[in-house]
Amino acid sequence: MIIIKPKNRITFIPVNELYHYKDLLYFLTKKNFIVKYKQTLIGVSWAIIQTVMQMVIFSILFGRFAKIPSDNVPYPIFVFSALIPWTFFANSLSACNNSIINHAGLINKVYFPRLLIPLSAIGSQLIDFGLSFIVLIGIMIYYHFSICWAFLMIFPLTLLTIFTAIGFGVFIAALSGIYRDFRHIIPFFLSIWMFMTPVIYPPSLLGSKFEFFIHLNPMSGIVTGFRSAILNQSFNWIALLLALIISSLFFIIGIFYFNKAEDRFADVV
Amino acid sequence: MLSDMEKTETIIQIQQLSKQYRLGQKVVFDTLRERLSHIYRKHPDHFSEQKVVQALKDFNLNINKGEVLGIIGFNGSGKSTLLKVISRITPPSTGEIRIRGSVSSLLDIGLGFHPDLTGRENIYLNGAILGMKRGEITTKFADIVAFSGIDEKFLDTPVKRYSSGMFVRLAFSIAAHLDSDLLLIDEVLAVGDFEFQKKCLDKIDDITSSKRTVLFVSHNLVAIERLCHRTIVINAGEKVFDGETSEAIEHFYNLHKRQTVPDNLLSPDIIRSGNGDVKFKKIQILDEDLNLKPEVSTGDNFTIKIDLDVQQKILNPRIAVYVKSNLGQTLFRLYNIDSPQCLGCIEKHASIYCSIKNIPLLPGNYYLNLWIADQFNTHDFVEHAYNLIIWKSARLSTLNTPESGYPGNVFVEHKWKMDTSSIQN
Repeated sequence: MIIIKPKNRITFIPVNELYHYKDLLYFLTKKNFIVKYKQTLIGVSWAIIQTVMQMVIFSILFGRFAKIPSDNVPYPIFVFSALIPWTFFANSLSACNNSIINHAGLINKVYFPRLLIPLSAIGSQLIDFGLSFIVLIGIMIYYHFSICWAFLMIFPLTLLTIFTAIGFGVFIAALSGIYRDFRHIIPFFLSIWMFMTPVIYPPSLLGSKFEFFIHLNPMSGIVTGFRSAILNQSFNWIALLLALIISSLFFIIGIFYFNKAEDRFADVV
Repeated sequence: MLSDMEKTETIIQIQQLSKQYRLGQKVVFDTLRERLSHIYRKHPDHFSEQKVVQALKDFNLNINKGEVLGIIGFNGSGKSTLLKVISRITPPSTGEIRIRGSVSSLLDIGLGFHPDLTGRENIYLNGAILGMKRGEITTKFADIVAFSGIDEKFLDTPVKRYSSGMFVRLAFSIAAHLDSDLLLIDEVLAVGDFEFQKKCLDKIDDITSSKRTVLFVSHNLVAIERLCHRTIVINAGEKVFDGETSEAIEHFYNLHKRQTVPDNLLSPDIIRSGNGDVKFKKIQILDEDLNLKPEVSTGDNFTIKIDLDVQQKILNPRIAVYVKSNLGQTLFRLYNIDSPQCLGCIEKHASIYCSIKNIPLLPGNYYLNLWIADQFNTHDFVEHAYNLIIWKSARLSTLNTPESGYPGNVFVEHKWKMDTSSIQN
């Protein structure tokens, strides 16, 4: 029995419904991925090239010229290990940013859980994320780094990154669906965010006074966590716990706001 | 309430449903600045400044299992809003709908089709959007392809290389293979070539005879008459008739007759484009003595009177009336340059008259689009400016039995004759 009422939002996350539409999530994700690289000469290679180019530029600018310390590891692998989660996170958020508007034609014409739109936008970034590990292995071999037990931490860390990306991504998708301003704000906001995250520098650079503040940003804990797993360093468990708590908070806010905004999409987009 | 529904096999129950739209909502909430400035001004009742449109008013409806219900009404009467609320695209403002079973809405076909994806990929994506499971699509895949009549070798080609006919046929085929208990169909028949349209109608016939419940919104009264036993008429958001289809159609025609003075074309809900130097204000259908003509039949003479609202004077205006079928096809155009008639200079409020002799349209529902321009710019273009209903004519007696609908839209005056004496053995 389907009951339609004004504001029939009872569930926080419509788990049953999302499960019913799991195939749609798969096909939307697949579409987003295929469309992104269709009719490009080198196709999926772009997914890798973007991150590799960033690594090269940052290594030259910050590693060689600015001489930013990199915890006694070669700067390219130091920055690349952080770029892997960061690029996934940033690309997910910008994909979410445009997702509602890009799917206006569907929102106006057919019902399905709207959450699938930002979720599939994030899902398609996951493939790029996976591909960047191929490059990582190459770089690790080049610099004679071996894969240790710590590397297994990549899996829970990946889940935490996805969880964080969903919280923020869903929030941003709803915001930019209703207020078009956010389409312009988010790219700008993301570039600032990157410099507030220890991607190109180690958190120790800021000194112990600021270290706590920088870890209020959940991506700080995640990025340093990835770095520890890849470079076999000791983990900053407090930073990771803080990241988990703050991400959970934003996950709740994000989903809650999305549920509230969702009913208006059809009238607004 | 539940037990009530069980007893009568009601599949859908709509109670006291209302839906309001705020006009200009799109503009007002499009930017954050507007929102922030509202907060800043602490203006709690800013909604009341906007015009509220009541798209549906206290709407009640019960539909039993297996019924095929037609929904007719003028443009903007609330038909589409009703379907959108039932299909959960937009929430109601008040009231409640209870539906038993699964619902599929076909407000459009080919939803989510991406030009870069292949036919095969689009079948899966579109099927999933319509609520099908992957396994279900795989099972029906061969049937879908066969029904669309698309060659297998095209299945792995991006649909942007398809002809528009192929695209539409594939899109409809997927929709035609839905198995839900309740189907909501909005004008999807308006697709494809004649052959395929016939196939679609037959398919819908199949669906309707298979004990499934269908809500069917259409401007195509012939299709409504063919498919539906029960039809409701919606006018200004209210249900004004509910009953037998033939009576509903009659009621709809009468409603149209009463609406002798059409709405003000300057009203803000009219969709228009152009620079606005001159705007269409009003359109009326007059008889030969320039009195209002309540109904037009095939073969009638009449005059279209168009009132203009002139902001800037224009020289040698070009004015056209496009006559469109209810399937959206342009049938012909009345154009002062074609006639050819120069209307000189328009400076103040003016009325333009266009006289038509022996209108060659068969009975049915048509639209008029209005366009005005000068040499350089389009000043105003109004789509669906007038809903022209052509009635059965007493003069053309054969047309009085539209069992299967009239083939085509046009009636050409012609004579038949037989000559038996000239046959040579």
